[in-house]
Amino acid sequence: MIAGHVAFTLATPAELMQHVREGKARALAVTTPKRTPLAPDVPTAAEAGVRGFEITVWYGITAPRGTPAAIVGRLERELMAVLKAPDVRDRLTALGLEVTPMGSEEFGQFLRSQHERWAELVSVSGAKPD
Amino acid sequence: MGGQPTRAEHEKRAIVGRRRRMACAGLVLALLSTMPAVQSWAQAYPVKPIRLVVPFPPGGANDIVARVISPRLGEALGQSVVVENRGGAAGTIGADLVEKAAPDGYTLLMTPVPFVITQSLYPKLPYDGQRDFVPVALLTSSSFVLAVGEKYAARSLQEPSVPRKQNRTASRSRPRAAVALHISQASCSR
Repeated sequence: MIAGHVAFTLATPAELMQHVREGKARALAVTTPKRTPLAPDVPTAAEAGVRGFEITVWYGITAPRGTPAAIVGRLERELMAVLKAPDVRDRLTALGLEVTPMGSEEFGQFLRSQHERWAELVSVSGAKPD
Repeated sequence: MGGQPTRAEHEKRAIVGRRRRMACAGLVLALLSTMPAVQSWAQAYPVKPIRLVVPFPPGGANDIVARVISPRLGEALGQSVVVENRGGAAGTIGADLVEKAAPDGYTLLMTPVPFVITQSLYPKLPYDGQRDFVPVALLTSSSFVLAVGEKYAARSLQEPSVPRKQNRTASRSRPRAAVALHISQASCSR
């Protein structure tokens, strides 16, 4: 895109905002429902006039079904604490990732909504594996 | 002679019987002694290193997040958390490995967006992403930025960079396919 070979791209704020600051690219929208603190001036797609264009890039941890609840609870508690550590937050933020901790239950709901969303996107788009 | 056991035989039987009773008692003892262990198993966790499977090769964001988190999680748990890269088939090989591992808290899956996409994209996965995994925690979530190069005229999402007439097919359907594919590729490569 920077070289002018492609018209547009989707990339993480960390990858892109440097080029935007240098005037080599124009950021039109972020793909999350809320603006990102990593590029606060860039509107959401909805703010830019396009509804339903939402893609969130996320990382979580899951375990095999049947893992005892007490163990899941212990891991969840420790992970929540680890994600509060300023140096951990700084390192993840530097990668263009927002630290957004969710415990097991909330993450479960989020995963369900992501499964529904991607099932719809894959079906509507007709995307096929390579 | 025939029917009566000799004294030696009698003693032998007694010894065998005693051994059997001892073996039974030993088994009962062993079972009893493992019961408290089962009860305190979760409290004692973890007693050995934990594998955090990253279903992609080293170097991508997925791997880096795992490597930022794992030493600190290890400190908190008092056991090392070892990152294990098991890339291949858009992350489904690593996920399958975790799904088939013992559900004892010693094998965890770094879970990125492709975990969800592949569930819809690949009809014959050897596991069910929704049913066969329990959520532990979400760590990060972030945006993509949609951007155009400076050579293109578009200044907003509603303003196509080519005339609408030429762009009709593309603006109606193909971008959806392109975006889903691009995202799955982009996120799969991380």
